[in-house]
Amino acid sequence: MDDIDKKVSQKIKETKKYEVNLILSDINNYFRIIKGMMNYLVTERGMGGVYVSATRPSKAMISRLGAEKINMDDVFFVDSVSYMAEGPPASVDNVIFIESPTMLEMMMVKTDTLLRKAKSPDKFVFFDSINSLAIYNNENILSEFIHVLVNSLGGKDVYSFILSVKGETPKNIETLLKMVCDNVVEIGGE
Amino acid sequence: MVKERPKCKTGIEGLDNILNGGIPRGNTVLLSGACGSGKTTLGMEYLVNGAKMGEISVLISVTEPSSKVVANLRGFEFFDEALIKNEKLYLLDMISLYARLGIEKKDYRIEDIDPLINIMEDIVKKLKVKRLVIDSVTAICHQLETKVRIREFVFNLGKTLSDAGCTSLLVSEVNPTGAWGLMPGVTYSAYGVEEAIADGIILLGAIERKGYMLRTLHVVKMRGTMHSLAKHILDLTPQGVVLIPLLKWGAESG
Repeated sequence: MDDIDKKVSQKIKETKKYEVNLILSDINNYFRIIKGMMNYLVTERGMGGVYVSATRPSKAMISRLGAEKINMDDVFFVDSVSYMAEGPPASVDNVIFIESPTMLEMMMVKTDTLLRKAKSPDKFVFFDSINSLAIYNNENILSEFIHVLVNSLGGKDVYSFILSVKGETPKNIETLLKMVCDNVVEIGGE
Repeated sequence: MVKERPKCKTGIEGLDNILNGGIPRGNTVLLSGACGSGKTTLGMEYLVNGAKMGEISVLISVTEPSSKVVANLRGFEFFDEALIKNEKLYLLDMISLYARLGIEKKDYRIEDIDPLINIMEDIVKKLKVKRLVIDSVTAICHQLETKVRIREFVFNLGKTLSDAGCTSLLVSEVNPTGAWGLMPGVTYSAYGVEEAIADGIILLGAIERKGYMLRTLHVVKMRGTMHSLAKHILDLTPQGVVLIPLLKWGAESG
């Protein structure tokens, strides 16, 4: 366990179900923070859940997190990157591919579908990341999506985390995130 | 306050909420959409869910043999083949209807339509059918040649089914440009007369968002119940139809 892992673990151990946590990540520690989050949720807490990947393809994340000895068997991916980057992907267990990060509603539908598949008693949803969605979606629809997403996640019996990289998200969007999320957790770059 | 009629729960996630509990019993509903919009899947899920609730449910498949319908249904988790064996779900194609009519040929004449309605009525009454899907009513209307005949056919069919207490979905094929929403001049059926007679219209369509298509569902009208008029995103999954409200800023193409 490295410093970032400890820092992540300390900062998110008080989070509760039915609350939505905004994780404001330092850009230089993006992957280490994700690794720390998964390490805490999956390895330490024994949770399963849904990882919504809008930044890196699921294949890359599964491979990198697997290399860190994090057991991803009960983590299901909603992947909106691979199709757009590489064309129609081959079917993969534990992954639902979405054709484009502009299909925001589908991310919510597929998250619900995959949450039912996770077997662990405690479940999480990890949304990676809002700043990536901001590349493909304008502020109006992204604001609306965040509002709907947070209200949807807040009604679920799960631990919810929305990742946003500091300095990479439009100011209005970051302000909205801070306003609608229950907790704001800054990790890295303090 | 208007007292709502008893409802026929579709069992489809989201649709019963949109319909404030389900389709009013006895309604004849036009299920309209272009090819690939999800009409057949939605219709089949409605029937299978009904059969699971113990209601006799019947598909009359005009466009493909029932064996092909079953083969397609096997890909869905909601389907249970035992429902057919247990005579809760009937999948009838035109060959079986022709057989009941004593007709051997493959094309109808206009004069065959009344016997066809009679045989449907006979099936609904004998089997005590509570749910019926005709896929598609457009294929039948295509044989009728005139709008007057189509109007007569849909009216008589709707009355027959309603009198028998059957809640029916008539699958209606429309061209893709007509499936995009409530635009002036848009019709919900191939001949433009079916929609005036139907008790309800569920329109399946699509929107384009930055080059990608999203399926949509929109309840245009439904007599006998309050219902949402909002457009919803429709997702066809192995579990069946899933609906979620369309983001309002994402309703326009581009």
